[in-house]
Amino acid sequence: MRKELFLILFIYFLVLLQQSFLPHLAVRGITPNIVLISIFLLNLLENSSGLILAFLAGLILDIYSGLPLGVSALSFLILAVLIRKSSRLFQKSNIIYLIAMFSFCLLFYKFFLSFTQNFSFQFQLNLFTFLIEDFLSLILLFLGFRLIKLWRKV
Amino acid sequence: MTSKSRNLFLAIAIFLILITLNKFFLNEVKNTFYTITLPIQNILWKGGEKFSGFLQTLFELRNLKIENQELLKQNQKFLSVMGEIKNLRKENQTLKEALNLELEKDFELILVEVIGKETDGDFVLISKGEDEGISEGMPVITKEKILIGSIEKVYKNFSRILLLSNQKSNFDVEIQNQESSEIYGLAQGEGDLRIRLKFIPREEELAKGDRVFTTVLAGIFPKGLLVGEIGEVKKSDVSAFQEAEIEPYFKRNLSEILFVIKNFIPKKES
Repeated sequence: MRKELFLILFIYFLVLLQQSFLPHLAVRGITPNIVLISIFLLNLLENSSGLILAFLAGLILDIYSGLPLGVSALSFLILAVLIRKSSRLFQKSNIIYLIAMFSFCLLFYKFFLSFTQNFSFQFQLNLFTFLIEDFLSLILLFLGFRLIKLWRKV
Repeated sequence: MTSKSRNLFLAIAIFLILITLNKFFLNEVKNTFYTITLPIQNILWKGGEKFSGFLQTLFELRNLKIENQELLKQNQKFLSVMGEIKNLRKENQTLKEALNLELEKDFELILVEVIGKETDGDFVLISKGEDEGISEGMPVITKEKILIGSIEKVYKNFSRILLLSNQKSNFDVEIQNQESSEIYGLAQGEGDLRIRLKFIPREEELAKGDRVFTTVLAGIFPKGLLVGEIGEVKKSDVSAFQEAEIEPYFKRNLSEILFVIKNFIPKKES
């Protein structure tokens, strides 16, 4: 329980970091999605409580954005389930799996937000900005992945 | 109660709670959370500004020497022009006073602090709201009179700014080109801090670097606020209009302190 509480507070801090610190370090106005990265890693490498943490992380993100409560929460929950299911089929450290799965998650998250805001399947995606965001996020994802692995060894 | 039915019950309960919160208490919930984390967000925002400044200095260190030499040369030129400017300023000041054209006299401003920017969607969160007299639609500018956007949502102590580059944002603009002719067009936000200029007749001469200002035609923003400069221009043989990218100035000036123009009421869209 103590671990879960720490993780919730950590994710809360990540949301604030994403909203108030990262915009200054944006590349062409684009910043990596560190909350999605943390949810991805939590559900890939953590067995218990990943689903609840994903939902709560989404809820915190909803509070700090203009979205209705529950939109990001639901999309993170769906993604957490998908990550868990897919990680059983592939090796977790498979680099191609990590790149493909994370890119899919980012794309799904963007589509889900667009869908819930417009209630339409018409989805406008700027490929260039998506690729930059994906690339920046993947760098942090690999860094986080390595750090967790190292920490577990220690 | 089985585990399945318990989970179902829990899911329904959460769903109902969320619906109730969204319907009746959304503003209060958000305002409470923003109030609690305001000090942390302030520290993070200022920290981010300092850190990015530090990184920028670090990257630009190599060019500083060359830049310094060029600046010294320019400085000498400017010194000779200074005297001339002093006289012109005096003259200008007298004229302004005579015509009562000072911007500060035109606008009643509320000073606000930025505390966050959303990753998805071009929105910025500021630390003042309804209690300070802010209402929806009010334009927001920097101290350099660069237009940022308008107030989209007002909470008790906080507000969200819809940036000019948001996809929901479109407004009339005037382009001042080198020939000083008046060109009017429509600026449309495209997301990710990008703005596109539309409906400019093909025969008009647009060039990279031409400055873009607001007009009062649609009544969304006051006249004469600086928006940005023209980037890449796209002309097509088949279209009667040309398009161009606008490089918004607020991209470089999204600083901590902004001003909400209190005494400009935008016309409601029909």
